[in-house]
Amino acid sequence: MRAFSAAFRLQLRLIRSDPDYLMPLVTVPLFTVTFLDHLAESGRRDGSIEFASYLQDPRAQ
Amino acid sequence: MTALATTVNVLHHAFRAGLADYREMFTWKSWAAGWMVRVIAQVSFFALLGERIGNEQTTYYLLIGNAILVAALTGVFSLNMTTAERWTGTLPLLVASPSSPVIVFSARGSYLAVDGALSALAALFIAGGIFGMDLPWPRVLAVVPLTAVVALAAFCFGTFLAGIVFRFRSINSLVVLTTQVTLMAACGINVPFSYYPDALEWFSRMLPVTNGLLAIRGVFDGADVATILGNAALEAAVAVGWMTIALASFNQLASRGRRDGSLDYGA
Repeated sequence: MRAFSAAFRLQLRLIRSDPDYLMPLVTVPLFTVTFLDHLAESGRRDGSIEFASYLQDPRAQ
Repeated sequence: MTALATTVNVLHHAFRAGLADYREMFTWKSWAAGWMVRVIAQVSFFALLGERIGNEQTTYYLLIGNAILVAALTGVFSLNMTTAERWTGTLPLLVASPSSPVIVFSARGSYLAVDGALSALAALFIAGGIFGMDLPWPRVLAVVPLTAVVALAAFCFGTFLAGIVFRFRSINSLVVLTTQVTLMAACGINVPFSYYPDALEWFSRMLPVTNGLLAIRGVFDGADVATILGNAALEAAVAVGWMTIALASFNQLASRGRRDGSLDYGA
């Protein structure tokens, strides 16, 4: 547990010194929204579910 | 020399410096065979996605949206001007000079608005031809100035963001990428506004691309001239608004950087 919390604190410090680490946290949700928008707006909610499942476990497809 | 003549002189030289930078980055061959191939591939990717999940209408909707987005993405790159000046070590000299840095940055990066508009139009007409999209002649000519307005609005927005990055340099890449993905997600590029909550639509209307893209879609859909001009005027207003905010905020942000000594050399 100590190692985990030390690693977490180190990562927080790294993010503070180099905010580029935050890029995936910001961009991945927005990209996901964009692609799910395509599917949902086209009435392909089945595709949205498939895509969401794929994101959770690509090997299961 | 009057103040106006001095400003025009600075604008002229900064624009020429920007063009010289651009000539170092691209030749006509590398622009056409490198950059344009990448842009057309990106637009075609979304058009193919539309073909796969929807119908012809969806394909063309995505094709137009993503082609025009290229103008905005390129325009927003103008915010990298401050980083470029920092890399070359000229940033402190610019801030110390009698001329306002925002005038230099905006003029030096303005080639990006021209490049963005040209890239977007080439992508629209080439990818449109590949996917068999109807380009109603001569109405389609109206797309040319409308795309230029979109690129200009994005460039003005990028100039405003340059002020933020000027002050908080560590978030440069984060700002570029977040802005680009936000424009892609929120400006009606991929789905119509009816799909969004009302609050998001209001937010999007204040961003570049949104209103101009509606005007361009109007051209393709055969909307009446008043609707197209109304949306184009809103896009122009967005451009003026962001440039006004940039002019008002840039010097204050630069002064703070000068006070705390953060305008150092290097990235």
